[in-house]
Amino acid sequence: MRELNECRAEIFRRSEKRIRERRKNRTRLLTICVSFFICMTIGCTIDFSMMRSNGKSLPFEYDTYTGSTKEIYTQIEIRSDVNDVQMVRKITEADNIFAVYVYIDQIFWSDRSSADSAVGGYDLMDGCDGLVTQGTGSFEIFTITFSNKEDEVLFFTLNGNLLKLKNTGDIVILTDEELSELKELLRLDL
Amino acid sequence: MDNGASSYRRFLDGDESAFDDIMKELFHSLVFFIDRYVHDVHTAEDIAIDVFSDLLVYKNRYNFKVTLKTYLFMIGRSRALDCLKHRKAIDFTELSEAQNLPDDEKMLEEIVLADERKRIVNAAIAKLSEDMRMAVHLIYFEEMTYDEAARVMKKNKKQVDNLLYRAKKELRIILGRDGELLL
Repeated sequence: MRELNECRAEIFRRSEKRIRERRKNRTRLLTICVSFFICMTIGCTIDFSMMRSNGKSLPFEYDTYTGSTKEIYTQIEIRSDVNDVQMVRKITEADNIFAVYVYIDQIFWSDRSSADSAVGGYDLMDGCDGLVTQGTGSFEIFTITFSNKEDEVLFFTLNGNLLKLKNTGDIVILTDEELSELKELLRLDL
Repeated sequence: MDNGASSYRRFLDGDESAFDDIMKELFHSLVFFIDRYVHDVHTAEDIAIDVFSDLLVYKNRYNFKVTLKTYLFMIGRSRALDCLKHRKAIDFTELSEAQNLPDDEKMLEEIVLADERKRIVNAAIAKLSEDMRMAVHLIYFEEMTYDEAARVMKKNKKQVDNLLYRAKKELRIILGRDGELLL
């Protein structure tokens, strides 16, 4: 059997060792938590940016600080062919451009099926804006172009209820209300 | 007598010598108590050292609601049971057992049990079941209250009372007529 003072020394030695171990474990745990948090943050950021660029959102240059795209696109040009007569209309007012942008962005953000092989009775094919109408009569086709001074452009085609973003190939089907509202914003109903 | 609680309070306030007082007061009786489970003084001593180092590592875990002695004995019991479980899994023979060295046990008994009457009872209680042995140990040797003994053994007061009653009955048989006077 050990003497009492030997036991006392052993107690202090062991307790110091255990305290050191505890501290080390705490540091290790903290390191794991912090690195996990950083990984999660980076992962979420990448995932979010991919989500924005994979067609669910428009590839607009979005000013995250001011939350606006007002200054990015300075003109919207709308072209249409009706009975071989070309019609060109331009929108240059910043407020109107912004309103159109926000509206289209909302349409693309909202959860709806897109880029299916057959959407709502329409067959989609490459080479003809992806659109061939079948049995539903022909529609007036509009080409909508967002542009700015740096020649950065976004192309859309509006064929009946189908709105296609040509830069990414994403398509959404508009409801009649959405179509009429979009036409109103683009002043196509005038 | 608060069984070390005031010394521990002094120790928490920074008085290092208070820890020596606690050691002097409780260390050997804790080893003796743990030895009742593990039947090996060296292992018991080792466990007791671990229990005391717990006091230093987790300084604020003891909340002064029970006496320090009760607290240490509670930890000691659970550590001893853990050790037994571990030993069962490994199934090794103690060195002291192999070499047949009971000297340390005798020495510990002499340190803890100064009273001859207690030594005779101590020899007799080895024949009791573990629960009865612990109940007798805590009440007669450590002079704990029924409440404290119940806390250490994780039983209720009534169960401790029953164990003591049955232990006394058996001890009367073991010790015979002479033993009657000891209890």
